[in-house]
Amino acid sequence: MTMRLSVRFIAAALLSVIAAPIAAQSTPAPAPTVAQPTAPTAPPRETVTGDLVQERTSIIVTGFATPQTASTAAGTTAVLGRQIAEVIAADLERSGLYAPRGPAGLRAVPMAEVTAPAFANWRGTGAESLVQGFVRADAAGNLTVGCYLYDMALGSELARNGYVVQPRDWRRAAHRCADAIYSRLSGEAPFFDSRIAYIAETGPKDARVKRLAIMDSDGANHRFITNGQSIALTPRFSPDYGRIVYVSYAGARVRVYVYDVGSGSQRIIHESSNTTFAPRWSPDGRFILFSMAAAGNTDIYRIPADGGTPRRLTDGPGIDVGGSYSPDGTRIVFESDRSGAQQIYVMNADGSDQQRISFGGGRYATPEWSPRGDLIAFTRIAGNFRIGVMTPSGGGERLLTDSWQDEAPTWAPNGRLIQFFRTSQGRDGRSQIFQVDLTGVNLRRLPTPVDGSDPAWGPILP
Amino acid sequence: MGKLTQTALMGMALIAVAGCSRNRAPAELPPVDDSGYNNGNTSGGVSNAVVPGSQQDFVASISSDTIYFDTDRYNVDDVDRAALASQAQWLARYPAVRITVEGHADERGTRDYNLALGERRANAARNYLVSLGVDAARIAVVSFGKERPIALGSDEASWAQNRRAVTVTVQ
Amino acid sequence: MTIDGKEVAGLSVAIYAHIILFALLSFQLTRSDPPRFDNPPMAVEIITEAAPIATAPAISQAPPAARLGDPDSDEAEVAPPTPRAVVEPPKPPKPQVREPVRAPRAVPTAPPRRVTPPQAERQPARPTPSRPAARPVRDPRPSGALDGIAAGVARDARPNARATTPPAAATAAAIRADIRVSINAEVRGPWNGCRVTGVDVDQLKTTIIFRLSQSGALERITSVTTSGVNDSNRPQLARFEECARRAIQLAAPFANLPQENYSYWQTYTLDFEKR
Repeated sequence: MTMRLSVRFIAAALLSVIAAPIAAQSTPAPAPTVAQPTAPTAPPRETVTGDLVQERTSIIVTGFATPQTASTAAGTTAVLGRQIAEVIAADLERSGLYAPRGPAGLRAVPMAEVTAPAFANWRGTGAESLVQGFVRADAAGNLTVGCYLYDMALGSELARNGYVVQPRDWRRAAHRCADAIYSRLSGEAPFFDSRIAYIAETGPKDARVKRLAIMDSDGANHRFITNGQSIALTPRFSPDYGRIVYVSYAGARVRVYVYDVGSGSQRIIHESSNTTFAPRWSPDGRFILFSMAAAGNTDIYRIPADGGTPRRLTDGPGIDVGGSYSPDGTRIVFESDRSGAQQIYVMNADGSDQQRISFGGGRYATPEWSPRGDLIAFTRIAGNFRIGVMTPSGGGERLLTDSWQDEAPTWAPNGRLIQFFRTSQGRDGRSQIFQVDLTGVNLRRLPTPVDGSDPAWGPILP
Repeated sequence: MGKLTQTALMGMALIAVAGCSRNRAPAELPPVDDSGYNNGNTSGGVSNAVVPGSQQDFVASISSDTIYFDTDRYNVDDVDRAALASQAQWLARYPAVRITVEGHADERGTRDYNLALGERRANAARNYLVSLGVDAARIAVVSFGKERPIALGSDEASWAQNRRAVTVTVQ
Repeated sequence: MTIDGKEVAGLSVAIYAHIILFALLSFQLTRSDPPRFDNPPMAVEIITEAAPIATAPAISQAPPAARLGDPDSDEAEVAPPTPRAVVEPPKPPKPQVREPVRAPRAVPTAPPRRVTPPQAERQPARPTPSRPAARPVRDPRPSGALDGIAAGVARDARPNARATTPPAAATAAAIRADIRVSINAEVRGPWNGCRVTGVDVDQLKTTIIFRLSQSGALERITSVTTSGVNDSNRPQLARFEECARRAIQLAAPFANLPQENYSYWQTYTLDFEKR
């Protein structure tokens, strides 16, 4: 091979030497002496500049084929094939990066075509990419979902994945497929196959009913956890989704509870006459941070998630509250008004070396460390409430939203999108969950059955 | 516990009625909570007969059950001291009555911080009552943060009404 | 021309080999067993109404206003610096056919081209049957103005010159501009059509050195390097480089390159960026 390459190289070089004069001589009259003497000799190097901000990439998502229509607990495979494609298209659309087309309005793709796309039939659409797949029911009653991504221009396969799920989890297979497509095309880690805990709100402002609720990242599979008898606040999924830590006014007190998703039971994390609130999980799920107010003074504590003695991490006359672990668990970002107003501080996980990192005008609140570790999201209060990000050392501050009151950012599992809740003014003011990406674009509302606040995005499902 | 809840509900209802009379029942009433502060609003049946030592008697006998605070502040000023002094006098007459001081913040703060701020305000009121001779063991505090505004507007006048500490009796 | 014949054959083999190699690398050959979800964390309801059917927004066909140096809108005007002896009539549209490598390498004056149906927004009447549209209708999208005024001027002057008499003395700069326009105009479309987004992506710059055959076909990509990588944009690095390679692959073969200057453009370096 080396030999051949060398020969080829020499031949090409030789050709290059003799070709130019030959070509020049064979060129007809008009400007016979033009090219050769004045031909540029510096090696050509040019810059191709593309547009960073441009329209969203068009992707065709065809209805998933089925080799044989079969009935499952979630409907026939033919219907599921269509629905899975719809979920994938909706996911891709919601990412803000893609403009999916289909499956509505597209022709049905036969099974044989799934792995051998008829690119020519789709090129007229101008789409960059093509998503195809299949759904098959096996004898055990499980679904196998195949997912294929193709580059339309190159006519090549970019990704393929298969998922085996119980019929009731067919949406997860769709989310996994969308995640594979998103990751392949964007370079980012996946995030669709995840869940969100939040507070569902109903009723008038002075008697708001606030219930703990959970849902998939696209709002599907919505489920209320608490019945609304007591105010529920600030939920957080444990890293394995097995538990939810949140604040409840049950028992006429404000206390942090750990709710077990599997059993439906819950317990108070720390028995005390003091108010406990603002709970957060450690990345490994072994500890819970919470804030406790004693005689009006609020500090941050850490307690083993399975119970134990809380350890105090901050010790000052001001309000130290919140707290969010770095993904490696070694540091904690929190807010404190020790300087006179809310600002963001970083400390070691044992409470040592507390350093202020926010120095802009106004106040800074609700810091949340990105699961990627590179940024900290926060609420900045300067007149209005806006969501922003900065580096863990306090640099590179960027504000992502601009509204009357945006509060409490939570990170997508891949650290590339942020959810928060937006409150509108007045006696009929609403609270709704919104989502924005790190570049500050693609702002959109997450549909919820009723108003929502305190969103908390969990990690990618195990 | 049930008594406490009932009292708290009655207190809330009274405050709502006496405060701004803009009390509106939610479209969908939640089930009655027998374990804690009710999530929704309830208009509990309030008897007209004032029982000495009751919440009604308390509200009727004192200058105010509520003190107000400036933005982000929790200091007790002269007006507050007068109100708290009248509360302390009433409490001296009924030494068996326990109270809860509820701390509130306006909507222009983040949720967790407002919980801490409400706690501070309730404690400021509690500490002043203790300094007037009320047994500290009789006074519980609870913070509602920005969860239970009295005034519903998004303006300075409404926010001023909502930055408050409210004393309710526990029967 | 015997040397040429062998050379062409050798080059063809090499190009085929490269394309096959690239295709193999592009594909995921491993078909591992699909993962299973064995631990559904909780009972779920089937809520189909929560999955709205997405409708795709229409892609604007309108070219951008006030873009300097947008070659996509007038690439038909780009002509070789010297008239060709043989001008091939336009090929009939063959929208379904698209071969990465084609046979007629031996005819350098008529480099093979991808053919698509004529596009409405192009000028209906053309003085020369130069390059047909190489890509589908998404083509005239906004593109970065890389050459700015210089490129614009170079193209503006060309139709007149070609329509009457060639320039008396083409300068090195003009030739260079011609080559640049020929290559950049083709590459920029697929480069723009491959979206890379994320924080600090504008700091990435991928430099690709590639060799072209005398017919303008891509002989091989000799080097791909990227600068400006940091923690924030590292996830996009692979896709960024893939898009740059892909742009050259899709743009090649390049037509209208001056044969007499083959030694100049035989090895070419492009810096890819998105701003």
